Amino acid sequence: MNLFLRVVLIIGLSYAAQTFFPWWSAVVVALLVEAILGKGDNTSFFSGFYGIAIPWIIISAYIDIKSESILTVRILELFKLPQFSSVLIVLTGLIGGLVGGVSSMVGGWIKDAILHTNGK
Amino acid sequence: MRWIKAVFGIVLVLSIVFVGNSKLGMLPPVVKFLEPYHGIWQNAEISSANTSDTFQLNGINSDSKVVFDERGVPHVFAANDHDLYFIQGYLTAKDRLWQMEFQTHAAAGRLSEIIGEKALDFDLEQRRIGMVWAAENALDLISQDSVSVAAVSSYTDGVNQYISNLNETTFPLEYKLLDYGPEQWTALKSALLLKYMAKMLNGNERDRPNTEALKLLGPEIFNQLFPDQNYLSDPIVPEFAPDTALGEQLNLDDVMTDGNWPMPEIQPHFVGSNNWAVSGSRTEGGSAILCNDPHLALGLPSIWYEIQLQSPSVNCYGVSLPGSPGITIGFNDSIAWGVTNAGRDVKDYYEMDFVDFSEGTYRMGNETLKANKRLEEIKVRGGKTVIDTVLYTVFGPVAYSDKIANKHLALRWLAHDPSNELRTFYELNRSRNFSDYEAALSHYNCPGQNFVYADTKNNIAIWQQGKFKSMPKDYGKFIQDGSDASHLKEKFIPQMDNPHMLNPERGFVSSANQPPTDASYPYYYSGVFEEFRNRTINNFLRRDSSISIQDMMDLQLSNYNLLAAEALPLMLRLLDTNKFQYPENERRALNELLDWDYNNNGELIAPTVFEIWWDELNNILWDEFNSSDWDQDKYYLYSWEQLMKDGKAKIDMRDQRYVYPMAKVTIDLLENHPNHIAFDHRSTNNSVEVAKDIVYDSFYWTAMKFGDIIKYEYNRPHWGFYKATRVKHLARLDAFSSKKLVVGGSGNAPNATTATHGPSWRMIVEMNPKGPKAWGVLPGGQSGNPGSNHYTTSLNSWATGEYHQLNFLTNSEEIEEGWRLQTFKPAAE
Repeated sequence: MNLFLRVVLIIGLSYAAQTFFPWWSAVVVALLVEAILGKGDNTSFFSGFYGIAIPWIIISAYIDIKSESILTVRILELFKLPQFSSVLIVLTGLIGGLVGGVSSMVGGWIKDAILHTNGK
Repeated sequence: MRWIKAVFGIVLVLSIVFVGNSKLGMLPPVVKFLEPYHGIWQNAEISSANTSDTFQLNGINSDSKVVFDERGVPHVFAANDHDLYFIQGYLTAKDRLWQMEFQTHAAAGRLSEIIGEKALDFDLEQRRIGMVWAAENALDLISQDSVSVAAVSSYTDGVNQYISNLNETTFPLEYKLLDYGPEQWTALKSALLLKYMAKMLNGNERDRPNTEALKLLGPEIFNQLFPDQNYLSDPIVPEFAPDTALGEQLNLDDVMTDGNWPMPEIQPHFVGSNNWAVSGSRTEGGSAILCNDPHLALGLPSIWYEIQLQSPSVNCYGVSLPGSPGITIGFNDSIAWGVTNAGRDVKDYYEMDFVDFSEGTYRMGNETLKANKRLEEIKVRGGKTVIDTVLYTVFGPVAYSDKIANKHLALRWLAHDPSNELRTFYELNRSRNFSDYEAALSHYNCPGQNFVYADTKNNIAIWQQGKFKSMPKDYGKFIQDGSDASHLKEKFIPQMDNPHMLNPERGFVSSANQPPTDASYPYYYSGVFEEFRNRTINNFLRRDSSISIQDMMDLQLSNYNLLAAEALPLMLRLLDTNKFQYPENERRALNELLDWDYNNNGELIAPTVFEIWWDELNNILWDEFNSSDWDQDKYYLYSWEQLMKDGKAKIDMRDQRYVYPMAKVTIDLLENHPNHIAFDHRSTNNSVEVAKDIVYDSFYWTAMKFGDIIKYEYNRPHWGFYKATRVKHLARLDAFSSKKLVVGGSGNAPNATTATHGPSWRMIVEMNPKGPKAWGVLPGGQSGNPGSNHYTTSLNSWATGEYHQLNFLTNSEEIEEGWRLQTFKPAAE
């Protein structure tokens, strides 16, 4: 399956999973999608990165706009960050992306191991 | 090789999950906190466009309606009292759960469970002064009263119903930040909350500082500098002389001991509250008007929760304490009431004579008694559980110990006695007339309050109610001998002998924490009393005989500083300008003061100069009390404020070992005794200073400091900037606190807004026979969620002196634009 479809799949599945389970269900989704449907190549990091970062950014941006940034600004102040909503939204996306990316990358390593085990 | 990499990868992923889910030092679990599905983003409140909706609520018996007005104030319309208090608990928890639980954890000495070892000393002190024991004693009495039990348990069930609907996604913000979850609410927690208030309002204790000062000064000078009553005050109830009194008095020789004790927290500036009621004969509209502004530490979430409660038995509006059923300050369609702190000393300390401290045996008269041991288990987050044994003597718990000298102080605090203050408020909420009010007060013990009263029949009254000992002169002012069995013979002043008055000829009643009575009162009492605000208020009420609502607002907002008006002319008269060393500096400061009208308005510069000068003058004059020649490691006190500020509970009290004499005493010395020994500086052996010297020395430093402010503070020496009032979050998180507010005020003005304290609720009620009209404002808002736009809705109005008209509704049909109606239906079985 190509990278674009895997990203879409991770977005969809991780959204469903996180509706019912804690955040680390996204980790499981990214890892499994890549381990089962991935190619075991260098693209594996990016499926999880985009697959998690994109929805986390969209959801947090949506909440930020709807709530007129009241809480966003206070949380930024709490962590002594510059008080622009986009900072917290990008930070949220980046953390989600890194966690998702590492997970799918490891999924890719598993896939790679499986491919080579079967190949022997 | 590839499988090794894959296995390593899985370990890596598991580590990320573990770390992302764990609290790291002061940081919350980073991924769990930030992820948008369940984390902090979910706490951002999105205002719903719904104007009405229906909820199934498990635990209520009939349909109930709640109208939320534009400020988010709930107006509850219930078919019965059970549903009423259930919904009050439910809604209060919805807006304030974290605050309710955090305050009761603090009361119970359980903060270490949440924030770890740095709260341990604070928790230990709470256990040793018997906070939980006091709450248990109160709950015992509450449990015997079916009316109170019903209200408390309905409220408790409502809170728990809300908690049971929560999950990690919907936990209030602070739980996520500190990474823990709420526990079940209990009736004990409601009792703990009342003891939390009692501790706060009985905080101005003087037994230990008085004992130290007496030792230092000897009786003659001590009595001169620390007189019991402020002779120049305008008492709450003048010429009050019940004739039953003296037979009830204790008969004891004065006893006092010395020792080196940890000192109580001493508030550097007086804070207190105002309330008054004016008879219709003196008002513009002809109806009685009642006003109240209780001054407390300014906090977010707001200390008070505004609510209207209506059922077939009650229709009442006002502010409630989150965690306690009913309304604490408010009005119904017949009466209005409000409170200020009595300020009387209700904490006595006894030095115990232990035979064997570890055994807990102590001498009492000719007998040897054994103290009860209460094991206090303090769970510490990220550390070992601490077990502390507290000894309970016949007086109460051993609160403080000087381990080196093997001396121990037992605390006899009237808040330890069984009492049911909840019943007072339950009945006040339903009172129709003066006799209902009087009956309601009969349940009230501690902390002593001045209950002001007004009704639609044009009656006004005030009653200082509380449980107070009847005692001989000077009793309870110092640490006393705990082996003297005669201390156990306690008598109490009956309610009818507590200072009160109904419809006095002068047409108003008022209190502002001043002494309750004048010399005609036969009972002895001591305490910490206000000296200035009360006279400003009474002077105003005496002068104006056609009082409007606007006048009442102006009086609550008045920054007139009577201390300055009485002290400054004297200080200026004693200031010798020929001594000026840096005339440019000193002239500049002096010029600011010359045309001042004594108003501590935020935009003025004069109050800054005066307040600095007054503080400098006191520090230099009372150098006797700034002793540093003692073993500082031995003396600590535990301060909640300090704990939150510095992350440690212990603070060195070297500079506050003593309390300075009251301002009136200082003014009297300046005016009438300029050669008093107090003016002589202890550090100058060869010269004898008099009032003039101290006045100049203090002015010199004031001018220096004022010059620095102009130089370094971007030329913002105005009082509002210098004072920098802030409304602080309960856990002292700056991000959840207000910005610095540029507002006026002074502890000695009716608008007693200092840097940290101020009017926690301003209320004005006109008891119009056609229905009360009321105005009010909170320094904050209804919601406790920093992510809600109701968190600080009213803060700006409060700061700028605006009021909201309060919506006292007759039924749930009265809905205006921007309001919301919620219908609660009993959940189907």
